[in-house]
Amino acid sequence: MAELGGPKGPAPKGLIALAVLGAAVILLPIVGLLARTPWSRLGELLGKPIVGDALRLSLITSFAAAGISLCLGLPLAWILSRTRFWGRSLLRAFVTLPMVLPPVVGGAALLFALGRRGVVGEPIYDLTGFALPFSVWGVILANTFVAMPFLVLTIEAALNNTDHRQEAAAATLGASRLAVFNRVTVPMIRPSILAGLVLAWARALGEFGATITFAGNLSGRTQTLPLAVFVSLEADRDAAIAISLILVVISVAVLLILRNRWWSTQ
Amino acid sequence: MGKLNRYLFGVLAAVSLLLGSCGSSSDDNELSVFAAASLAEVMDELVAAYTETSPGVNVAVNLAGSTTLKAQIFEGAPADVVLLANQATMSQLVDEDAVQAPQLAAANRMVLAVPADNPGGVKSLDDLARSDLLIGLCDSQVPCGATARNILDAAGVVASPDTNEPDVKSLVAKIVSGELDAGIVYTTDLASAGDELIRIDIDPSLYEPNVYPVAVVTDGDKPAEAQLFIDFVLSERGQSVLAASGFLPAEEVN
Repeated sequence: MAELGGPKGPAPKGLIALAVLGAAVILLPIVGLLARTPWSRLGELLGKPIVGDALRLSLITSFAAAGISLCLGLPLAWILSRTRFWGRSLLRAFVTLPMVLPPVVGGAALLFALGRRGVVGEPIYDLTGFALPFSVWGVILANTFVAMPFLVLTIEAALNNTDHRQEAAAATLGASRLAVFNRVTVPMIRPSILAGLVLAWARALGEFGATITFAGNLSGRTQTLPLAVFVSLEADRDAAIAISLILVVISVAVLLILRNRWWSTQ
Repeated sequence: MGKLNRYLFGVLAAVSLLLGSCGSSSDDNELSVFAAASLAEVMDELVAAYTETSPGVNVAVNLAGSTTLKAQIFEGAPADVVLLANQATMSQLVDEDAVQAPQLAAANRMVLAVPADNPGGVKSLDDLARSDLLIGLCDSQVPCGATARNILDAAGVVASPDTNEPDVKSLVAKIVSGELDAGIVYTTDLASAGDELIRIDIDPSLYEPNVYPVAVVTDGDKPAEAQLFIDFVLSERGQSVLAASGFLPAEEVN
């Protein structure tokens, strides 16, 4: 086993054994999935309308959620890292809460807040007749709720690790705080922004619990790939496996491409 | 390094010890009952009543969807009694000789449920065709969704649901919270939701009610004890527990 820098000598056998075991925990289920895949019927299974609808919806909503997470999460990460105010630690704790909360709890909480009987949702519904649940907007919101913390955490960590002197220099030269943010801070942490974006997108793509609880399950409107897997699992297991395979392929492809393009240079 | 290894293996050893102690909690007196998820609440009451009449028996209940239970039994899961939410799944078990002589334990009818304040002004099944309402059904792949569609077909109502919920409990939750205007659920769901839902009856001639068949599992270790539990479920006492939760006695649909 070749080693990069650091102490020389063979890697300790104990560490290798545990690492192999660790990789097995993650890889074995994928092997199981591949072993059960009905390869000869794959084309027919993937041609089912439920699959195409779910794939299109999943791509739209996961990218939308990643985009919204970036627009709102980047400023949030900056505020958490670069400003001091009362309750900042508390805010940070709450911002990361969706990472720990069971997604189904998140979905129920979204209903209580933004459902048409929700604290905020009810006045909106009374005023406009618009309700988020059971709509594609509900899916995007549920995805954003679970995905944004990954982006905020990644970017905030990067901001905390950057050298403040460049920002200070730009400010001394007369740049406004917004200009420093746009022209110095953001370019400096670009790789981390992309990493956070990918993590958020991947989390949104796999989102299940919050989506089905808040947005329901309707093919073509709110049924994303994970929901399609879930409802197919009992009645049509081969279709469920085929859809799962799409999720694996998309995720691995995107993670590999982005990893090679942006992360290997670091 | 040795220190780290000892630490890591120590953690692994502790984890396996913990798992081992969890696994060994089952005892020889335990009767394993596999029951459909829709029976969750009533199973607690059935088991409590049964252990009252037969002290010393320890009943362990495994709840899941009927199809999942069938798969678990085919894969050799340790079950003594199986109680499912539909006849078709039980028939598949019978065909494979996985169970012996099923009997009907109870039946369940369906109703139209609307939130207590009835925001959509729903009066009958016909209202499910209104596009201005938010309508929920169970997914067609679970029994409550299949039956709901049979009802709508028989009534000639073309409903466009806004969501196909994966199980009846999540559908009920969304009607209770007022996020949906109406949905088709089981009579027993109304019994457990209390006055949070208004019940609109559905003409029973439109559909076959859901039945709950119960049977002894062929590969179980305790066929005699399993039969005793089934006898209890079918007894007057067992049937009164089921009736209190809104189930119909099985003989009404037999």
